[in-house]
Amino acid sequence: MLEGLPPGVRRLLRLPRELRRQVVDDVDAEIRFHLDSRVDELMAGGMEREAAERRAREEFGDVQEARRALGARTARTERRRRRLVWLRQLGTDLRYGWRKLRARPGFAVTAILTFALGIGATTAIFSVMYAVLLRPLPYPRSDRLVQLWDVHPGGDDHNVVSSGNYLAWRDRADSFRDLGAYGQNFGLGLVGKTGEPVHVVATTITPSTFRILGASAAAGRIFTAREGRPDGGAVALLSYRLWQTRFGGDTAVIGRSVDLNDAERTIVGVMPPTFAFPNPRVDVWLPRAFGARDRSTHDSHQWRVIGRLRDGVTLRKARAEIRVITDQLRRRYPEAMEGWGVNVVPFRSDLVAGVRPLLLALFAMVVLVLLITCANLANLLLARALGREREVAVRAALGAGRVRLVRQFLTESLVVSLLGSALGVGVVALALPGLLTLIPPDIPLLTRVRIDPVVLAFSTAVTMGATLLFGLVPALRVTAADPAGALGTRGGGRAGPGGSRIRSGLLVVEVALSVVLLVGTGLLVRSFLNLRDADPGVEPDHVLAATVDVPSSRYPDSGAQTAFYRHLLDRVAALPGVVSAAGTAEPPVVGYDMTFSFAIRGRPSPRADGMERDVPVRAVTPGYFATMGIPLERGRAFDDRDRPESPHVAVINRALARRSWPDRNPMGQRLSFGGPTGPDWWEVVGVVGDVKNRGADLPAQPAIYIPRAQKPWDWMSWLTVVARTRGDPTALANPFRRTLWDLDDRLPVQQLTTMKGIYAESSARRRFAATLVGAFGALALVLGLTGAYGVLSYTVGERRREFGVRMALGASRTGIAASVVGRGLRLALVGTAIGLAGALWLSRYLRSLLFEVAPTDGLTVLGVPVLVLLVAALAAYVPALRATRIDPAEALRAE
Amino acid sequence: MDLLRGTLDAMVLKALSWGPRHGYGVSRWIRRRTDGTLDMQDAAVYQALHRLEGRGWASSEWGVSDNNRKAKYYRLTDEGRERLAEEICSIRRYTDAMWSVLGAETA
Repeated sequence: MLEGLPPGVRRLLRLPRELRRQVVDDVDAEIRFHLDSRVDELMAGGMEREAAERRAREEFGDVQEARRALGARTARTERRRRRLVWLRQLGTDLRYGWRKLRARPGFAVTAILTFALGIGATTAIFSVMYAVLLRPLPYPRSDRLVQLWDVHPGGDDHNVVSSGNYLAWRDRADSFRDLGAYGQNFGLGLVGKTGEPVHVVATTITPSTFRILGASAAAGRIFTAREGRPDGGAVALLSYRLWQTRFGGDTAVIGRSVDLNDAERTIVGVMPPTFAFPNPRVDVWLPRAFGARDRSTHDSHQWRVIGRLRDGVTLRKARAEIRVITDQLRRRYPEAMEGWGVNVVPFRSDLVAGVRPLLLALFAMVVLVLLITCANLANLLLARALGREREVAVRAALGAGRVRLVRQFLTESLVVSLLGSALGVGVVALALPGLLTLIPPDIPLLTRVRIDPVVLAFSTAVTMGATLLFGLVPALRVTAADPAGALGTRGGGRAGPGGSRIRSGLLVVEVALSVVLLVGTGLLVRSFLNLRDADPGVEPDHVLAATVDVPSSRYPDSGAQTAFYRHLLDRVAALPGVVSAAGTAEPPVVGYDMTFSFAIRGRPSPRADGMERDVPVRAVTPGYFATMGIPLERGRAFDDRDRPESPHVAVINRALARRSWPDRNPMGQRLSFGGPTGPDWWEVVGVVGDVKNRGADLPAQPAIYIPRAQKPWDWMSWLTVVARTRGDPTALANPFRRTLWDLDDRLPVQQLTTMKGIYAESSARRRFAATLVGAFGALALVLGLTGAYGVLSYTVGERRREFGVRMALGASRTGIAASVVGRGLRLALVGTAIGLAGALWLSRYLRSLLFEVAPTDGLTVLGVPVLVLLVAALAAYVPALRATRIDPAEALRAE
Repeated sequence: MDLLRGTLDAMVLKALSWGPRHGYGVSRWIRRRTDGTLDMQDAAVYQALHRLEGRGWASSEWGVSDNNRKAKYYRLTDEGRERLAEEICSIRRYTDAMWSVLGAETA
């Protein structure tokens, strides 16, 4: 059984040095006795000493060899014996601890539940943190994977990459085995022979990306290199999920063709269920071929680039090489690339960059919860242990050493923590699937969260550590008592003032930890509330949003598309319960927000290309601002007069008005997306309010709106219909689908949701964090309450006689009660002061998670101490009441 | 005569079956019983004693010998006693079998 233990533990069980010496001495003595006895006997028979000694040694054999062999064997035996004794004692102690627990079921349940809460919460958070931040990704040698980004002149260092940059890096850089590119998710209609058309999420990807990831197909094959060339053929790979749900997991589907947005594609393979690249939502992968035109494209950014470093190449070296190549490109294409840079980052850190602070903060908070439960348990156990000083004294008098006694107490604590741990971890393991649904789904790698051996090892180690933490103080305290004194005391050996001091100290620690946790809770909850109350710039209630994309095969030009969408919007507006309906190519939060640079007529830009920095440009239909509740601040909104052939007009938001015309009226200004010389000019006819387009917690950007009918981009074939309803917008979902399929029954609906849902989702992480730490904070308060109650009750019991004397001498009952409450408040105050100092020092680490709250937020910093002191007063109330009911005569007689 | 493998442990167990003995006593007793016909070194006896102790068939404790010296005494445990009975049975079966072949007087 020793073989199964880690080396560290085995070393601990090895014989100590003095025992080794003892073994050697014993063997020597045994051999010496033998030889001496034999020599005596031979000499008694008349032999000379020398001859007798020689004879004795001959009969014995090789003395040195015997010493060695016997010593080794004895040491082994002794080791085993000691281990057995140790295990037997452990067994005895465990049984003893179990009996002691059973004798006090109330205490047992409280202690076990307390620890189960602490260790369960810690294990749950760790399992998420481990899966997301620590566990290797499901790709071979994933530490060699890197992600490459363009760096926007405005500072965004995770800008998608131009095809020209990607191809130049791929062909010229030596640092990588290969570079692959893939695009944004986009929607496709999968049309079957029967049934409703379904919307599937697709992405285009170079065949090399699969090889870089080391991924292979679960059925069929991945793309060949040939399929990554311009005439590679119309093929597709399916996700395991789509294969199961739509094709029943039938392998016959491989080699068959499917209708995707009115184009036939041959299915060549199915990816395994674990393959979630670039994100778990993708159901269809299409090969992307890059042609000659892509090679010279440096001003349109839409690719994500992943690479695998060659063996021996460092990230730093790869970065340097890519910079050199990009510098060459910039000299070649100064207009498109001025101000742009490049960024190379490890794939893992990129993937989880957005959630790392959140997870680390949650883990830190849950560790605080665990420490608070430990302080609480230490106090509970100490109270119980002090009641057992007599028992300890008896055992000590019977010969149990202090180490042995401490071990016995620790083992009793271990019974509590093991049962608590089994309960807590067991519940977490069973509830994990449910718990995971509470986590916002946009956190990456969530599907990999599970209770695995690493998580179990972690929680076991934490359980052992925590047991030492909360078990050692009571064990040391109670075994330190002088046995004679304890035995002499009447009434079962009440502890001296020492017990009370330690318990007060533990309470102060508990309060301090709680205050740190509560300040964190306060800050995160306030952030969430601020966010919930923040004005997104639209009125998201009662708005349905549904995206439709028409295939270019049947709707070849803008005219056909516009006609279809006008029909659709007219019909939706006429549905019962609909107040108004409009459309946009870029809905808030979930849209892609493509950006374009623009020129202002008559105002030369300092930039080489004469353009202003790019901003999102949103093509919207008439009625969009009214439907979304975006306030018109100046001029007019779009209407039916804004036709393709009429003068082009634009509406800008307040942020752009402030950026480009800080001291001037923007109305009547002319903009061009082509260049400083036009030729198409868009006249600014209105200014609208800002919309938080990237999520409720990110500031609004400058933006331009243009009438959809006048958009210069034919390829922008999709439209998100927004409809304001009188009642529940989700009730409109089915009427909307019927209306759409009335017009064209081959079009799937993408992303049917509500505006409110979209904004709720964008604040889901903060809601999650606030809910979780809210629960932690509540737990800390309950633990603090019971902890303070326990300590003060104990103090009242201890000072019973003193209170009796004071009352007998005329002290008022109120005075007695006040002294109890005062003591509670004093302890809480000390703990609060320490905790606040700690919280102020630690809260800056939360900064990136806060929203419109300073880490030293006054309300939180003042509110938490008030709350804690109130709880302390509440905890003191019952013990104080009990103190006033002491009958002086009885209290004095009791001694 | 060479010692047959495995038989020394049985002899040592037997030597202890009358009560606690030290290693010297065990060795002398076996030598006396076998009249010195076995080519046996004392070291082997001690190895056997320690081996028996390791397996839990004997236990040891320090005591004082007849000649007033500190000596380590071995005593059979209950398992040791059972083991001795088993050893005797199996060695007897073995020698019987051997003898029924080697002592055969008819083909």
